[in-house]
Amino acid sequence: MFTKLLTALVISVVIGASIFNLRQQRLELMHDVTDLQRQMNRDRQETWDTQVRIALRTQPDVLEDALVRAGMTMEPAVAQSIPHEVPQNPHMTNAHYERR
Amino acid sequence: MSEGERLYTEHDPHPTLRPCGEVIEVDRSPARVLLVGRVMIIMITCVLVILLGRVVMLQTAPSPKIAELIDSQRSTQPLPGRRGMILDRRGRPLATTRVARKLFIDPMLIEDYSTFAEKVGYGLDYDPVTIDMAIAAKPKSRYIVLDKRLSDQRVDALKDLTLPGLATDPIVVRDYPQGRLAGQVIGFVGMDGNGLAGLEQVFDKRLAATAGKVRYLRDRQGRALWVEQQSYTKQTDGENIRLTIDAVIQSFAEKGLAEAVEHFNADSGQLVVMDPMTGELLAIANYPPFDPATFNKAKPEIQRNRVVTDVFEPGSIYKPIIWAGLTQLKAARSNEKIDTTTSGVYRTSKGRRLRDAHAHGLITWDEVLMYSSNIGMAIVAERVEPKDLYDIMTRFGFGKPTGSGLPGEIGGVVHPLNKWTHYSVTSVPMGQEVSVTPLQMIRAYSAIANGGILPTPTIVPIDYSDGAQYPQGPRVLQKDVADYTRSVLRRQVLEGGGQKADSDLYDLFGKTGTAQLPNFERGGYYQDQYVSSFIAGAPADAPRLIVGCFITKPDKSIGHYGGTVSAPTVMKVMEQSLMYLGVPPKSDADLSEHSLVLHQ
Repeated sequence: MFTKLLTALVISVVIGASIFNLRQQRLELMHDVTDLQRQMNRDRQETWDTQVRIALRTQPDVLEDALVRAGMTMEPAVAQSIPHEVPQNPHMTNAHYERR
Repeated sequence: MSEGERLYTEHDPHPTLRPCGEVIEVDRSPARVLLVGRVMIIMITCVLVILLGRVVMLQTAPSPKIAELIDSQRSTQPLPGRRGMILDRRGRPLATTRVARKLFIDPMLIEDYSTFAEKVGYGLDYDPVTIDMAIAAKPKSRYIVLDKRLSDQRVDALKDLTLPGLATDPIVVRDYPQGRLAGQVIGFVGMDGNGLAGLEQVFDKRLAATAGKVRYLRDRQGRALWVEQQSYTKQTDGENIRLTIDAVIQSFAEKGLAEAVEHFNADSGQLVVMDPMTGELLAIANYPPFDPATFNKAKPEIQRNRVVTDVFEPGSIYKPIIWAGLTQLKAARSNEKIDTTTSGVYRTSKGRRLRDAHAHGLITWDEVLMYSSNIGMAIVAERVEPKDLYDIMTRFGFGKPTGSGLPGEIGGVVHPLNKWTHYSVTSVPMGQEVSVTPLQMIRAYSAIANGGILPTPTIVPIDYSDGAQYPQGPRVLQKDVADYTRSVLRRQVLEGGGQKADSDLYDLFGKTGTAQLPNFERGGYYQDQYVSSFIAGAPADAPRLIVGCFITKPDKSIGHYGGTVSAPTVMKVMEQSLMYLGVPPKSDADLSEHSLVLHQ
């Protein structure tokens, strides 16, 4: 009987420890996911900022001045087809955060 | 046998011996073990149930003290959605959203205000006195905004300046990276991020973003541990919208327009570049320019896109429309001689006295348009019914908005037939008694350019993937009449008033206009105030672009004729734009004199 009780106790302890460990792992994963989510948001906002900075540096006037300073000769643009599809924001959609 | 002996012999084969030799009896019967076990199980279960109940209580209804402690470890953070970008036809951002920084001070964390103000002032290029005064005014505040939006330079400088009490907050802002380029067309958003004018307003629903939020559980140091259950709301970004505007052509247009307006000391001006086949608007320039980023400092009249919101009496640039319509009605033959008098003065059948700027005598119907003869136009117009003239005007879309989708577009004024006077039949052919927007005029010329189809101007690119053929729209002229009108307008550039638009690179066709501004107070027209305009298309044999320039109130002492004020600008913008689009110049063109434009 004592052996049985001991066995039951040990099993309970093991199960409890396992559950606790799983919970700890889950919390760690949630923490990692949160960190990633925050990093994604930071990257996303940095991308916005970078887009603006690129746009500022590629204004037609700015480019023209730069080319003149560099003494470069440009050729006429070749007519090219312009795709109708508008590129949307290429960032992540956070879909994996959505509660399913 | 004593009781103890009985127990020893019956139940306990291994009696415990005390040092004195006394035998202690222990009841280890299965029944007792079971009983003890049960009691322990019940006790442990009770303890666990109590613990579980406490956990549930803490989770669902904690005491205020504990709830406060829990809340202090939670924080909700907004997740800003991004308002959609407005892009030019090649994907360059004209309006975009970014996260900027707001600089604020917490005086409670500052030890010495003066030293702090000096460090911040010199470190970030602010006036230290202003900072000192701001702190002194609210010393107990914990949030004094020093700069609503830090510049990029100051954000960089702030990285080297770590001071207690100095911090930034993120703010979502709308940026216009091309500056004033197409400012009136793009419009602007208000403080709450909603579109208030221009395309920002028109496309507000599509551009609008929805903010999300997330609630974090934080540790004692305030670091985010994880996102709490049921506390994440996803943000939704707005839709990016591509326009037909090309930033480079827009830049050509705005520079050319600014040079012309400033050179002729004019009041204002508009310049439009349009594809006559598809109706796509490649540039819409207004002068004075408008910067959407500082919209609250600009006068309301500068914020308007006058290409569609303002009308003017077109004058001679209206003649090709009526001329083509009359030709189609066979009111005159191309080589028919019209007597425009050698004096340059003519009295109509209704007794109206008309004048030409120069006397032309006996000229052909083609030359009537080439030389822009008011008299010749009036003579032929009197051969048709007023209704015919009215039909020509309405067929070309005058009197109603073009359907471009640009905000604030008006339809101009075409008086109904019952309001026409005896003078109307001779006024309309020379562009009087009618009010038009610059866009209506460009559209009408597009029909002449593309073989007689009236296109609908559009600011949103056309989907060519469906294989549709262009031009599309109602036919307003027979193809041969449109082509012939174009050839006569080509002669206008070669021999008539548009000679300053005769390009070495491309064959332009077009028409000048010098319309006096009406005096609404006293009636009649101002003698020294004009709208000087010129509309042209090129290349003449297969037009790719229509460019129209309209300059209001140029200084007469410098020049006021459309051929002088607007034609050179149109030619320059046309050359630059066609070269940019890769349209081959004339085979005999000398390119050495011309700097070629950007290739992007």
